[in-house]
Amino acid sequence: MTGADVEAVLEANAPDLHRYLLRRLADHEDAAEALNDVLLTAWRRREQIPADPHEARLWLYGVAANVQRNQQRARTRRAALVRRLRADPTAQRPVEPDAVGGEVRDAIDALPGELGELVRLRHWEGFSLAEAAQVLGIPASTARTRYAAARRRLRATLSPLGDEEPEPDRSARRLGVPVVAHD
Amino acid sequence: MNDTELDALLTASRPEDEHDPDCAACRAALTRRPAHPWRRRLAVAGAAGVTVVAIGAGAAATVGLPFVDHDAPVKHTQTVSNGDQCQSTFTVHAEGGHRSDPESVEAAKAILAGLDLDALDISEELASLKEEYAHTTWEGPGPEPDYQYALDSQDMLENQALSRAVMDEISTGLRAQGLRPGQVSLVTESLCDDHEMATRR
Repeated sequence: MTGADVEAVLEANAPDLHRYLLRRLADHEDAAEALNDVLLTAWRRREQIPADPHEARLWLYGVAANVQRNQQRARTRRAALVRRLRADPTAQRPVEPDAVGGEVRDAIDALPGELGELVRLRHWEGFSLAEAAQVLGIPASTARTRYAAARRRLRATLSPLGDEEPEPDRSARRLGVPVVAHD
Repeated sequence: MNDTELDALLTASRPEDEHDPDCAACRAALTRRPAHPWRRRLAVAGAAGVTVVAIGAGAAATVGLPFVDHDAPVKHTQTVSNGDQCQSTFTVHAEGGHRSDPESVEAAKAILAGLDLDALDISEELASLKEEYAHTTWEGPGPEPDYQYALDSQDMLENQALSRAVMDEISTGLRAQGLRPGQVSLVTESLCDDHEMATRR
């Protein structure tokens, strides 16, 4: 792959990689730094980038997965340090706009090992399980087993959410036109 | 909950993408690579000299002001023990938002401006950092990656030790004046020669 080819692959995938990192790091500066690390790593290892564009994309996501894991490790260490400083340990948390989405994300985060990332790659990034396995560097059969385990755990955790009675449609009542009797 | 409902919940949990068609971060990263070396940003927050570390290129700002006043960032070139050099910019910031103490902040800036950074002894901070990194364990998620960025490279350690030593000097100086170190933070932005990844295995 020539330098121009590498440039093209990186440019084509950078926006998606940035969104991938933003979804996991939830901090613009961390995501920007992580993206820079991904591109630097890709450039240094450019001879390893597959020639096929789709394979190259998966390879880049694999790099991004490692980079964000490193970032999260640094963030974990940083957060532990910052907690010693701040009276309000929740001050740095991003605002959570939707409660249900937040609960589901918490449940995904709580999954052990790679289970959570498998779910995110499948449902957030739209990868097949085989592609997700490639990103994570694990056999597809392992990915399938782990994904099934993840779903079992999530179903148990999230069932109360899915079983809730739907809210009555108050907007319909508010906006409803009074019934007028016709002759 | 059936499979369809679970799928819907999981897919809907994807965080909203911000509208950013130009992807400024992408442009910055693409133009920065590969000509510019890896940049590191170190921030040392106040109080107990706690170090906050972020790595990457996001915020390696350069401010071309001469430090004729206390508000100007202090620039310094540190030659670490392996001969590499780190170009650092130290800037004092207020902590605590509207409750910050301007007197402490101003005093911290004055202390920083008066420090002889070449003469600071970093040996104690260096030993402390090495101890910290020696006991760092992988906290997931997932398996430990087969490489990491050079969190524990010599230039990283010595540069971070210098940041901590500077913050210690500021904290000590503030306490001596009856002021509050917790009201200030010191941000150190550094660009070091060694920017290669360290191989773990």
